[in-house]
Amino acid sequence: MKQEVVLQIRNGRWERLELGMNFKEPEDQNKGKPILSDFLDDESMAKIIQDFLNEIPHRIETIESHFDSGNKEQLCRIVHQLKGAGSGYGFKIITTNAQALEKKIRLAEDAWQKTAIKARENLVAILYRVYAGRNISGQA
Amino acid sequence: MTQNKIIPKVLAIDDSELIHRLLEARLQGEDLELHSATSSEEGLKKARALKPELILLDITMEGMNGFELLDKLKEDIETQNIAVIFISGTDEPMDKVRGLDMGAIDFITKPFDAFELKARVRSALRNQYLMRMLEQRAQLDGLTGLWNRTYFDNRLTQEFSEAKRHRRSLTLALCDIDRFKRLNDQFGHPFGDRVLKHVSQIFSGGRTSDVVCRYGGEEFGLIFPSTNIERGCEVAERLRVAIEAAKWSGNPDLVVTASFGVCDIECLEDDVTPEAMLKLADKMLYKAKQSGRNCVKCAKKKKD
Repeated sequence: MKQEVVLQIRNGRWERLELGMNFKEPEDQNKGKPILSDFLDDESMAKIIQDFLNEIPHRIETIESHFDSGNKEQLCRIVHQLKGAGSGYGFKIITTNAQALEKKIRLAEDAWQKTAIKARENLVAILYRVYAGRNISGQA
Repeated sequence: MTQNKIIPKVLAIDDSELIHRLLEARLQGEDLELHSATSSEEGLKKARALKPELILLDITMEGMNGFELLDKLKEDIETQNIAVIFISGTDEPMDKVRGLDMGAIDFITKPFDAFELKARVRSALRNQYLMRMLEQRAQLDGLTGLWNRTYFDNRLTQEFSEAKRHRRSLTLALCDIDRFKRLNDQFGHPFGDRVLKHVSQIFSGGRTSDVVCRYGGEEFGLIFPSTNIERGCEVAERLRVAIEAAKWSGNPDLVVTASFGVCDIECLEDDVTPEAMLKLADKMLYKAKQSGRNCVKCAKKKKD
């Protein structure tokens, strides 16, 4: 399953990301920089952070696919899980952005995709930056 | 009663694999055994099978949500006393109020701080340990350490209904120490207590599945689950012989004996109830006393 995801990502969108083409124009000077876990030095967390990072491409795919297909319930579920787990893995920024997206999706009714598009872009961009930090020394 | 240290079991019920991995990493090194379930349905099954000391329960899950699951846990006598901590992504005060009012003991909001999580889990396990100790103490006989009459009544009812449901045999033996009043009068009450304690030790050394209770005074109730009358009578006879063979320091010539009345569920006629079973065992005990004491009298099967 993981291999399939990696191949898919390598042959498609992810390669573009690694070339730096997939990022939106940064709104602040930190935008685009890799994000590292707060628990970089915590050995007991190394393995699960590594797994978390390896799964990010698949999570981005899932978020985008549910968003595009209008599957509100499943989208809420995965975003809610990221909100709950993000800080636990040392990425407060994931929790903050997932919370913002979840709120937008839940509060809006018929036009929820329109209302939530910016929040979705923000969360996905954050996930890319977290993933981009996976090979930095000390992390994973 | 053995004092072996029991590692408490904690069951985490959450539909997020991310949270399970996080809990596993964060609770590593704590004195507990962590189990996990990724749906409410699986969680309910595991709670019934494992009977954990503590459940860490998510609220937002597909199918049955955390509140509904807590309801089910509280309805079931086997799971109603398990401590439950909600671990939820919701920060709605009304969800917290609802959870605590339903019987959860604590509420942790996700994302959680690792140190706070550990401290809250430890605190819950400490309280649960004390609660269980109190519950157990209330069901133990102070002198012999055996289960008391209250426990006996409840357990007999429970074993009776299990035996009927699964069509298993169940044997009940009542035992009374012979001429116990005379022992007390002749050797004093401290000696009488010694006899009760020693007889209790003999009973406790039997099969692990047997339930031994002090029924009252010098009378004992022994429940033998999944045991038919033939086997139950053999066990009672072995215990009778062991009591008769006991040596009493300071009184080397003294022989203490006991009488037993035994019946099983198949000996009952029309009234097939725990009360009727107790009555029949008591009747057989009376027969044993009438037959000169120091013997085992077994009821006959209904079909015989």
